[in-house]
Amino acid sequence: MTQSQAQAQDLHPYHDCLTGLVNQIVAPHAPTELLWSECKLYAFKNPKDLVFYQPKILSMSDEISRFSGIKASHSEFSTEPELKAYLHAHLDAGRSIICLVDTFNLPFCRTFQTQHAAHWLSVTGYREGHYQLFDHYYQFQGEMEEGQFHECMLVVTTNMEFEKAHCYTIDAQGFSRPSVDQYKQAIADNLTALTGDSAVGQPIDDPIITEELIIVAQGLSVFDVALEKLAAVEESAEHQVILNIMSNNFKGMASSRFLFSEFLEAVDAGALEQRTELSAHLKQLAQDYLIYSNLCLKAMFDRVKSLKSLRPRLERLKEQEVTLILLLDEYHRAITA
Amino acid sequence: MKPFHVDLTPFLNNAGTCTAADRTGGFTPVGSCYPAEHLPAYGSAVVFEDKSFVFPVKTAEGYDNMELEAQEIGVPRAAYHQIDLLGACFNGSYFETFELLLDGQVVHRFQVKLSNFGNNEGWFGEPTVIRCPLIRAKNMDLTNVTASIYGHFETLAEPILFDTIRAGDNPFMHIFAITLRGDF
Repeated sequence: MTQSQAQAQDLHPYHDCLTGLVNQIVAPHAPTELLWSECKLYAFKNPKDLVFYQPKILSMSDEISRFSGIKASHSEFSTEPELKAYLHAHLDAGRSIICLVDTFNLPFCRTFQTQHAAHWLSVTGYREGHYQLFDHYYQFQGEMEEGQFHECMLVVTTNMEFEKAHCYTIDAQGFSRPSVDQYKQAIADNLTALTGDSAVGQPIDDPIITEELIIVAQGLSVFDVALEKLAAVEESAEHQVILNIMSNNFKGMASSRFLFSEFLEAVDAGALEQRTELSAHLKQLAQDYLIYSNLCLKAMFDRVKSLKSLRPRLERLKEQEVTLILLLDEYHRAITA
Repeated sequence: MKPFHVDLTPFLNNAGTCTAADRTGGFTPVGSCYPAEHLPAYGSAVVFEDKSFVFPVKTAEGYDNMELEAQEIGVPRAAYHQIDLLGACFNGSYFETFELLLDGQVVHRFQVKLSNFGNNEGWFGEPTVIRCPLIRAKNMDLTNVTASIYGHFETLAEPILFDTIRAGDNPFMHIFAITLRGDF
């Protein structure tokens, strides 16, 4: 494996490996702020009774295609010949492919040979038995031998909970700006989801997720579930697992709030004063979710010190979500009046 | 204007710098540090443009920077015109509200914006004052990334009389030095 470039531009602090890659691919064709419009609240439970917290239930491909005319396609594979044929077909057609990999097998990741972790990178080309790789998150651009890379993708079925290897392709050439009506629709959808409970009891329908996940709370009641879970974390034998899930999931909450503020600012539907206030609140909320995510991570190391601050901060986040609903409703009424 | 270098020693609570031989401590929970040999000597002067700072002296516990926990830092009662800070964040780039107090009452608030220590440049546009060519992890030096300390320079519209600085409450923002300036 060789590395031809490192130290690219700094990452957007609220992008993860997947959203960052998608933005890189879409950026030449469209303003990326218009891709991410989901800002909701859900709690899911798996069969082992572990709870997960997410700001959306739409898959990545559905979210970015919904108002933009962008075509995002998901594919999954069980065998190396199928995977190889798919990668080569798209590369021959000049398309990059976003691929799910295990970082355990990636020499440029800090978790190489130490930890299994799901991660997204893109394959951008092929030359003499090697794929050209671009990893936005780890700032890596280089190549990897073909068979070695196939293995990186297929081991997610043996080393992690995935049933198959997963890929996305994105065609952003047909991008069109969301209309003002679509923009209003996106805001209305978020408001409805934040204040309703119609999704509770439903399973999660995402091609990447294979385990059975049922929605157990929606909107502000997500905090009741989180507070209950937090109360039990000290006594739980799985406290490290629970804190790790909360850390990852609240980071996702942070991203959704910040990226939604960028979405709101990218369209002029009037009521600029209300939008400015809402956007500033979303950015503050994003930061507070990120601090919370970090505190969960820190509590895995210094348990007592950070754990005691988790509960009051969670209660404060709930209050901030109440304010978000009020400001979003006010803005929605102003632009639809 | 005269500088007053605030003594942060009683408030230091994080060991954020280490050597290759002794990697104890950690700027981050997983133990990543600034490499001490690429930083100013402990207790030495740091000059950036027209501003001067004193790099902290490592305490007996090994602490060398202040993780924000809403500390109240007493300073000589005087009218100051400028508040300059050196610091950085980890796992994010953050803004935090600092308060200036006089006799226990808040007389002014301002926002400090500091970026993630591993950034190539300040996310908020703040200047990089010190850049180390690597990040020191527990078991290796990460040479494809850099570790930076940024500057936040707050100029007050007019001199404000205060005797205490109250930091924000965000353990992921760290301060290495504070210098006040004024005609006192």
